[in-house]
Amino acid sequence: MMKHKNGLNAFFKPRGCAVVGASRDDKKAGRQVVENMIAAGFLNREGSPQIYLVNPNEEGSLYNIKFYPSLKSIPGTVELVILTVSANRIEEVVADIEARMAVYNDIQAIIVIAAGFAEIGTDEGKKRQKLLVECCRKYGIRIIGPNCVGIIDNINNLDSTFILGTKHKPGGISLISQSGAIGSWLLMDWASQSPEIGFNKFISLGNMADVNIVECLEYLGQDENTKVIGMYMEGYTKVRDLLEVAKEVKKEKPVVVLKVGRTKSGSKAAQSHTGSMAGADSIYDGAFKQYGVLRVDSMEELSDSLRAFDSMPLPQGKRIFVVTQAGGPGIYCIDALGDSSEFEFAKISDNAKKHLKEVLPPFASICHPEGHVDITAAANPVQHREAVETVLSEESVDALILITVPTLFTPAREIGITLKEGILNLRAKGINKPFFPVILSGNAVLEAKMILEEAGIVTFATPDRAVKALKQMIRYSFYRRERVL
Amino acid sequence: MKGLAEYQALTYLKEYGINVVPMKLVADMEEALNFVEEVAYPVVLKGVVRDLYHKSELGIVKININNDEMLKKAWGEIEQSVNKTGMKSEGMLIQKMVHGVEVIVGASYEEQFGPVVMVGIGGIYTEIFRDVAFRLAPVTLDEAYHMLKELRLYKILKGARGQGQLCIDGLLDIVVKVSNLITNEGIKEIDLNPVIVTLQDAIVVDALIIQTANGDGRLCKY
Repeated sequence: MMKHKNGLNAFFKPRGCAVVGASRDDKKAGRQVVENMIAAGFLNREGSPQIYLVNPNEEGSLYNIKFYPSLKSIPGTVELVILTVSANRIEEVVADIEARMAVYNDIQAIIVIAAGFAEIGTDEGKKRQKLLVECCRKYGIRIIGPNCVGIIDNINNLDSTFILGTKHKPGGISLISQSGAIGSWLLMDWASQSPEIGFNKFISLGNMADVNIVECLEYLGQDENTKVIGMYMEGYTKVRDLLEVAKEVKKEKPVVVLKVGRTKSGSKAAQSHTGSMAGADSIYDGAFKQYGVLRVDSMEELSDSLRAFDSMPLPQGKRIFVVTQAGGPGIYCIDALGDSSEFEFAKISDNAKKHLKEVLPPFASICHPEGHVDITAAANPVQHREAVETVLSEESVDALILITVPTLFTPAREIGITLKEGILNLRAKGINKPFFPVILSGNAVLEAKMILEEAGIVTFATPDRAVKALKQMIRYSFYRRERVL
Repeated sequence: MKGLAEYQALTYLKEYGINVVPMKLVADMEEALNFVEEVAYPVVLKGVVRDLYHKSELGIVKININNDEMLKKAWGEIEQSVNKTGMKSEGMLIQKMVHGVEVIVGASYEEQFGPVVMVGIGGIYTEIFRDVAFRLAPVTLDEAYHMLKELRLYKILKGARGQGQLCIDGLLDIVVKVSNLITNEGIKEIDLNPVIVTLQDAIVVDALIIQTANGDGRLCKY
């Protein structure tokens, strides 16, 4: 397919944008898209790009933005079109695109939010998709969708989706999703955290009638504002193409994939043992390892891993340390760490042990076994900080998990403040290592978590979630260091 | 789709440079005894029947044959079993008996992925244990090693319970060669099961090859 010379840029940095199917009706996607574009700050961004609303059945304006009866009747530049009208009006829309291109020749990209195309499997649906694709191909116009929720770019102030409640806080995470609903789930969840979790770009792929998952991965791989890429995948026919691109991208930044469909095993008739065991999922699993793609098993792991990569430097090695303030959660965490083929417990120096013995409560357990200090429930906030600073200052420690359950005598808020000071103090000394604070739990410790999160120190909900994110980081630094394919 | 059963498959693999157990297709006891002269007991005797791929259930495989008497007895029993099936006997396959850890090395051509290669715990229970790792083929030696490392099998090969380390290098060589085979030779599915891994060796003792419908012509000569 013919590619526009700017790749996918027109989707993210259009000079003008038309919402076809824009509506006053707040039950319509065409209304929410307009609201999201405004909320993202599209109108305020550099170069003052315009939004144009297209709907022959509306007159006047919405939020001071004027309605036009057709694309052709818009006087200014339209580089991006967001199609929200239903699929059965596609002939009319295609005729309007043709009419505009004949005069202005300015449209470069179309996002098709409507469903009712090839994904419904009928001849009618396929015909509609073909009609649109052929028209766009003629002019070199790129398409995302149909049947997607749209795209977001928090750095370029664009939100073409109809997802409710997204906050447009920029961050280093970019996302590609084969399901609009899964993408919405994650973004709505991030928006509801306090403070909200930021991201850079979000692309809902839909039917991939033109722009496919491979091209998006490549684009985000080259995007300088993207630090880590998250993908939700259901399946793709050209797996090798995708993996070849992932292999290149992972040299620069981690690619984290939530690939679903684990239980579907190969049901084909096979005559060999190999053939019968070769289910798509087990092959995906092996291929991801082969190409250095990080596979996660759940939305929580996807979110935690992406946030860890976005907020922390990579661990220099696989030597980890665990500081706990209570026995139970400590054992729970060690269990969650499980089989140690991927990491080892760090051994700290005798000096560090001696220092810890001096500053920690008398019953603290120091390095029995190695790699673990239990500061006990008697530890005050300052003793938390002492343990964290001492351990992270050790050359032999690559990453630290801290688990604490604030009590009556260790107010959560104070723990938040002191830990933050400790980490910032280390950073000022040039020590910045992966740190996984787990403050248990719920509303009572919310303030402590907020204090850390607002300082850019990501917190983790449970010991196992911290462990999973840490393991993904260790895996990735291994892919980067030792397995350059 | 056409299949190459044991003898043809093993011969093919041997020509491809894969370490295959010493074996011979024999028509009578005399030829069998001549083979024993060369390799010494113990040996395995297998009935050869056209287009029969999974034969362990039919009583036409006798293992751990340690002397001439046992060999004669095995010969007679296999002949009887083959007759019972009503299929035409094409002689017997005699092989050197090798003891070690049973591993499966396999490969298949998958629509979505193209050629893939697999290694794992072998033997008749391979599909029950499912301790197998897949990769897209071909694989490098390094990648083959990473496949092994993610398996429980790896711990066995490293020498569990005071045993010495088994011949992992030999096994890796087979994995790499099979991954090249599936990539280049017009094969649909291939099982090397078991590959017996010993202290000194990794050696294929049974194999099955399923060609693609329009598979490589040179396979058809067997």
